[in-house]
Amino acid sequence: MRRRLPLVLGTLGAAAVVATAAGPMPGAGAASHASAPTPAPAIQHVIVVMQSGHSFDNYFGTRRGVDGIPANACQPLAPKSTTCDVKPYHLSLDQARAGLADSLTVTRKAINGGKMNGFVSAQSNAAIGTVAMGYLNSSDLPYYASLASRFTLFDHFYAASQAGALPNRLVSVAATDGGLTSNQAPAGGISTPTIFDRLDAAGLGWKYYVQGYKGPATPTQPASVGDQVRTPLLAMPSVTGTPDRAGKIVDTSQYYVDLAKGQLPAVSYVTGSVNSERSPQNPALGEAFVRTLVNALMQSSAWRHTALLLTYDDSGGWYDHSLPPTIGGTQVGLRVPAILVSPYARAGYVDSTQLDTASIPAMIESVFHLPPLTAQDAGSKSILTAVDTHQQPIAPAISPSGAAAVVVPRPAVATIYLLYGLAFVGACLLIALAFVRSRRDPLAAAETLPSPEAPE
Amino acid sequence: MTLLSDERAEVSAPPIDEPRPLDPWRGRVTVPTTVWLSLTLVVGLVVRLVNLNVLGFNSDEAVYAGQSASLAGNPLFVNQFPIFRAHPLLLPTLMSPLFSSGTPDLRGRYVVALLGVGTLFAVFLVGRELYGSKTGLIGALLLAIMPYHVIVTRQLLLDGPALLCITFAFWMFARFVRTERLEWLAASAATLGLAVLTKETAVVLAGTMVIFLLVSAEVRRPGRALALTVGVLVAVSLVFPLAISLAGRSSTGQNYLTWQLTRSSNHAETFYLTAIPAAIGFALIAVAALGLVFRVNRTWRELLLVLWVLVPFVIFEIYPLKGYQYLLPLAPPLAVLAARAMTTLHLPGRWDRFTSSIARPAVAAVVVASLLTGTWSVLFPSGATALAGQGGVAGGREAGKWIGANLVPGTELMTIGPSVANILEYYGHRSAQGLSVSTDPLHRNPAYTPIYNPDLSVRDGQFSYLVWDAYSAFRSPSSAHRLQVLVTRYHGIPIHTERSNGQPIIVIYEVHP
Repeated sequence: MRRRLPLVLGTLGAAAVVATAAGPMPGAGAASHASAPTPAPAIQHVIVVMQSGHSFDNYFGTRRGVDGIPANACQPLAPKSTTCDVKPYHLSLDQARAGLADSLTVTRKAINGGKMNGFVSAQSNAAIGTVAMGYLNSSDLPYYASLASRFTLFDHFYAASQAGALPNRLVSVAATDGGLTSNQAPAGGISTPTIFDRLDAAGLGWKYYVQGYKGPATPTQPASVGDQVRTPLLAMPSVTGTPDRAGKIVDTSQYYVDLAKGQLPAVSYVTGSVNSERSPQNPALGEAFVRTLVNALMQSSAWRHTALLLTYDDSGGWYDHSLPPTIGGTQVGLRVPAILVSPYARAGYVDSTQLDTASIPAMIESVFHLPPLTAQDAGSKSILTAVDTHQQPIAPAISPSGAAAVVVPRPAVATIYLLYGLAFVGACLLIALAFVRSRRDPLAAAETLPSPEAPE
Repeated sequence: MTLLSDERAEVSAPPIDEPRPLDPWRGRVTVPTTVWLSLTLVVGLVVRLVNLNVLGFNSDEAVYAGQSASLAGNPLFVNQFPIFRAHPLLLPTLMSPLFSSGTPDLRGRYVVALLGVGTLFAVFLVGRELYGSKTGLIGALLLAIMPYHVIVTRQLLLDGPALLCITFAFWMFARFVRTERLEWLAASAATLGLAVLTKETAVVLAGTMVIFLLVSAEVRRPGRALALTVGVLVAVSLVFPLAISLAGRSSTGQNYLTWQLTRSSNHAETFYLTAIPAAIGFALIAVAALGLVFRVNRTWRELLLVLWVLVPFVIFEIYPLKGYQYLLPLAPPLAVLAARAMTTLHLPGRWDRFTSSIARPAVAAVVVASLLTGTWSVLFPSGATALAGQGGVAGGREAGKWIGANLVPGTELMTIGPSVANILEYYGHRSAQGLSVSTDPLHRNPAYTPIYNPDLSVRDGQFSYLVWDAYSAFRSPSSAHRLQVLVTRYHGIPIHTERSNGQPIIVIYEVHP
């Protein structure tokens, strides 16, 4: 895989140059000043779908072919104990709705200086802590499993920050956590440059789609803490104070309209709220929300030129066995699930490149040839290692749900053919027997007699 | 009952083992007869093939074709159409090689049309066996242009092929009655068994045979004949439940049995009296009836034909579930009875000299003209019909193909009812579910999956496309209204419309919660 990296980056770099030279991208909102026909870049749209609060091991730890839950994984109940008290176990979807804590303190306790043995004890009590060792599998989240099978799954994608959702979401748009150590934005708001500044400067369109978004905050109806955590732009005066930019934060219903009208911007961020998956929300409902987003994309004309990254802001307090690396002198957070969905994603591939949340703005910068925001994204490895623009594009295919997902086992077809065949042949033999015997029948001779037409 | 009394009074069975007297009219088929029969079969074939492809499959056709394709292992259908549904599998089994690849429709209809022409030949044999070649020829011609038989045998339905087996079975049964050779009775019962394996409702015709054996003085050992008939019929028919059981689908069979036995009435009591006579032909029925009334020398032949008409009619009239094509078994005996009346018509007294030159041709002309008028409207319809079994669903095939070409695999569609869902699944290879399917397992076809919470299903993204169609909206206005509510609530955008005479007949909406 690493040997292919230069080739891929070169290809995408060339694509980005072509894209820049060609000027506008369909739906990107820039004016056209191309003078000669040039091949369209493979990736013209990037969509970042960021859900909340699950670790890689929690969702994909039992999947084959990934760096999943080790066979000897076990956690002590007490903070400084070395005993094996709680082993990973299969959760029900209801159990997965336990309210786990995932603050900076909790995450540090879980990592425990690199021993990775504090996941149970870091929680408020043993009962909840035990839940942290649970995992879901492909039968619980069949759609995510199918996405991983058909596209590229990253198994070393780390949350950039250990401090929770908001710092990580800030990294996803600004390549820095801004020094945040919790989900509370500073009183004066956040004032760091973002990828959207870069996009605006390049004349590229963007939108931030938020599930259930009710519109800009007003003095009587300020943005809630939850909204700000999921949408750090709401904590940025440079965005909320500019109607044009604030108007780009919209409800997810607009996402479908934009897709249907062929007006998907160059860069889209999408976040669930009531279906964000963070416990105690039901992961299955979040999965359904994501399925709707991806289905709509696949059914649109934008599919052919889009890379959609599905990932999570942080690990949500769930167990993950992989020791977070230290990048730029700071130990990053725990692994989170990440799947790249694109016609050019490498199908069924597990990409083990070490990535983190800062790789998201880095990917956007790579695709659209934008300068980096910080040293964090400048030094980040690219998600685009999972992209091969020379491959046969993956055709869209919606994973069925509901009744369509029920596969009825095939009955014994040979038995059906045998029995009906026997009945048919048997009946034909009886008919043939009747004909043969009737020829020997003296009464049959009557049929050879010339006769008048009617009996009467 | 008068008929039965007459027959008993006139017929006295010869002693056992004494050879039967020969029917004087029986003889080799002559060249003119062969020519006329060939012409009749050609006419029958033409009216069954003209404009055969104007409309795509209706719901039942899609199901039978889907079963055949699924049996053949056609990858487009194996996960979409379950092999076991309500009916036996003889026809899908025999047709399955034709459906092993692609999305064929016309070739299935060709098969049924050819089998329908085969029924014309069987009617000729029945008429000839009972009354002679001329009656056989006229009977075959009447059936060839009878709208009822033409309609049903232009569709990939089970009823046409089942009728072929039924008619051959009665021809062999008549031969048994004439010759008393038990091998003909065994062959007849086995052929009726094949009819049952084609469509289980054919079993009601066993009632005709049983009653005939019990009441006719023509059969000298009715007990022996009855035992043989029932034994062979049961032996052949047992394949139906046996295949379900050995293929590991016992519960499926039980589900369908429960559903069939507890289905509520789907049509009024007068359904058959209002829907079927016109399709058979009023003139034909009148001539057949008048022939019975005025021809007093009735024999076992008329008894057999009348029982062939009455038994299925009475049983299906009593049975709460009604279907347009259920009375198709009445068509051959009525055609033969009408032909008998035409060939034996005599004018009274001094007018008798005009019988051959005027009366018989005039009656025949009236009957044939009335049948042709009906058949013409079948071949060149002026409007859509909304009665199941009467034809294809306008726009269904085209909408299905559009879906297959434009909607991403895996897409699920919500329709008003299961009929159009079946069609869209067949042509579009996308899962479709009907809004009108009951959530009560006792009130729905076990093959269908209900949508328990349509609103939630749309919001969850299970259904991104809602399909309105005029055919289902006519049959289930309340479900059509519910679908329209969902379309409005979730900002439905019509992305494809099929039209007929400028009017929308199928509209596919894209919805987003």
